[in-house]
Amino acid sequence: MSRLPQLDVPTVVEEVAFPAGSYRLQGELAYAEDAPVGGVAVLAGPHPLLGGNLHNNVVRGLGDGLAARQLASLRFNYRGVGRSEGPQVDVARHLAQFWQTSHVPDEMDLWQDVQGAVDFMRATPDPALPVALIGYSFGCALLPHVRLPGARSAFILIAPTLGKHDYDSYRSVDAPALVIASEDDFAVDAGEVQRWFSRLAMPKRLLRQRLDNHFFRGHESWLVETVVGFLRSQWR
Amino acid sequence: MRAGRGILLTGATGFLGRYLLRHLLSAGHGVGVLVRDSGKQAAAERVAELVASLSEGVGRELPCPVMLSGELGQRGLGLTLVDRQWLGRNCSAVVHAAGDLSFQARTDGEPWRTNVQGTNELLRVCGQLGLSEFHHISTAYVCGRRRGTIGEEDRECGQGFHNPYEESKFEAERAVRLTGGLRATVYRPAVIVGDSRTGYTSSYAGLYRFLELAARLAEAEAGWPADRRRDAGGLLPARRLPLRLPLTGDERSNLVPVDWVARAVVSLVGRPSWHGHTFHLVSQAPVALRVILETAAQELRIEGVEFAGRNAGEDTGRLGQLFQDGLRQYWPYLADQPVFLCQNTRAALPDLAPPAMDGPMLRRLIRFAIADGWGRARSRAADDSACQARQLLCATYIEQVFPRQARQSPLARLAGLNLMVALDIRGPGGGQWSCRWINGELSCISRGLEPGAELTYHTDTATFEAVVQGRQSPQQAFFEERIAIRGNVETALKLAVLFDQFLREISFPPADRTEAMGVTTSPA
Repeated sequence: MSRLPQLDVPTVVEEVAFPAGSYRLQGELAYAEDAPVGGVAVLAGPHPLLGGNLHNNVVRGLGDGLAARQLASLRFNYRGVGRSEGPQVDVARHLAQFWQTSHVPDEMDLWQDVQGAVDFMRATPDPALPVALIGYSFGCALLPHVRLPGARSAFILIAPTLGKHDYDSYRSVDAPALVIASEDDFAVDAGEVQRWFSRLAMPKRLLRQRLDNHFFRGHESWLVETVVGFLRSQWR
Repeated sequence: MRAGRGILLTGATGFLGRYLLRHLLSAGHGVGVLVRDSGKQAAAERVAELVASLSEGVGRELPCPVMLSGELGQRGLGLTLVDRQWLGRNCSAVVHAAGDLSFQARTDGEPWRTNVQGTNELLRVCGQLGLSEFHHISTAYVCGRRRGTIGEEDRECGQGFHNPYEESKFEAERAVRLTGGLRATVYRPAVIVGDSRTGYTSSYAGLYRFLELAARLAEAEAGWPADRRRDAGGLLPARRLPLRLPLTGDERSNLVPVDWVARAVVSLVGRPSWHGHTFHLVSQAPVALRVILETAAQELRIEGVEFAGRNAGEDTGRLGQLFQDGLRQYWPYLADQPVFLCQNTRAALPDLAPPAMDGPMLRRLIRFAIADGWGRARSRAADDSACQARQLLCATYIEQVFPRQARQSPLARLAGLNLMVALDIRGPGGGQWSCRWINGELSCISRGLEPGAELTYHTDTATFEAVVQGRQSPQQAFFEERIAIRGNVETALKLAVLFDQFLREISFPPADRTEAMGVTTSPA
């Protein structure tokens, strides 16, 4: 990580497709054009029915920003979103259920999509590179289920949806973690974040400030700087 | 743009060109575009409008390409010295998508002037300026009158041609290959049709001409147009069109959606190990005419069209003859399709197979064309002032169109909506409305902001228009801060998903709903 530069370098964004379970998912791979890669990052976005696609401002901002700091990044569309393959569903009933419960069946299975993205990234530039798993909103809940055998890794959790999804699995995570929580986040109570965070066993850091509710609009560059700073400190 | 790494794109404002521009910019390429000043609008304005439209389509702001004012047919492309120097310093590759689609020789020299002379001039300028990577958009139909299987590396086979278009594209390909010092990659798409996801097209040649003529003949026979079906909720009966076609229905048409063609070209531009080859950008499973007819008959509300067999000859009746005469130039593309091999394309793009040209896809294409008046609606709409349209839009949509469509949709009933929502739309033609649902039924819409509304959406008329017309999803508009929410944000975002799906259902048939599990931005 110490190889990561202080200043941005030119980047390339390439559209890719990769397998995840029985589906092929659409992704965008961003990387430094003519510079060595210091690590890889996989971005797990919000819930697919709440803006979770690769156009999301946080997902795109981090994907492009990290690439410019020589961290190859992969953002992707979950199954059934955009041009990613997905299950056949009765969309009207699916959405009606989401309206009533804020959940859809099998939504936690989407960790397999993150796993597919991680496997793709570990096979692409160099399997030995450290891996940053970055979740935003619902995406945070998927990360602890991802298998990373033998990889040096770190977790970045941006606006985790505590109280809406199960975060108990983080207790068994031992890779270092950075948690970024917005003080005015509609989706989670500040006290709940603090209580959950204090029970985590891994090397950890919690950042809390007002960050445009749950949405980080206008804070994308700050997120890049913060994430790069954390990874640099962990991967020295 | 980084020195020497940029791409010059010709034909950027054309049908395929605008998709190429979008994908090149999205992929992070620095792009210069060669655009001619038209009589009505300066090139810079046209490109700026185009990029704004493309940005809206991809849901983020795309970088503006560098605009080079010029014209293929002019000496030195009509470029200024400054632009030539810029090109030499900043670009190393060309994507040549400009072309003339005339099937008949015209008095102004087309299609030869653009397709052959223009390409030759471009090649000359490339040689002078050191642009050595040339991506040439040709056509699969440079095979001319050949039948059977056509290989991607097949070139001159004494084939003969159906029309000057095919021959001029063939000559252009030959010129590209004969130019020394170039690494030429040739792309040969089959018949390019509209966007696979939205049906959008700005080019109504080929397939569309057949469908439009069928629609007009049916209209003349029955006395009412196809698009009245929408207003009447699909209750009007099918129109009788006793048309006998001298075909079996098993003939296949090789149609490829424009967005896939552009994506394939841009992907290959980014894969240098494949440069120097020729790629057939064709459907791997061309659609049978029978499928096209069945789908078109449903969408155009016609019945009575039948395949009379290849030996029907002139025994196709008055309408049959009229139909054949009106579309004589396109007939070869229906009757005797060759089989295009595509080993290069499959090997180079294993992750990008062409989408299936099936019933739902054909429906999207046809529905867009009908709504667009086969290309006439857009030109009519351009004559109206945007302000006038918006003034009509908000009140008409909210008070008349939306209630009628909402009654036909099961979404609110399935969800059991029980809430009141307010809309505060600023700008000319805007206003304030409140909508109440009780037990899934839209019970009332009133003017003004009701104090009991649980949610209020604040936006402007341009954004409202973009959302209602399907050009931007409501959620995406919120993330771009074009919609603000007062009230429970999560509920508002969930309602936005329902509304987005509601708009999709109005635009697309039920069979397509499964693809919309998530929220995607609307393509250009």
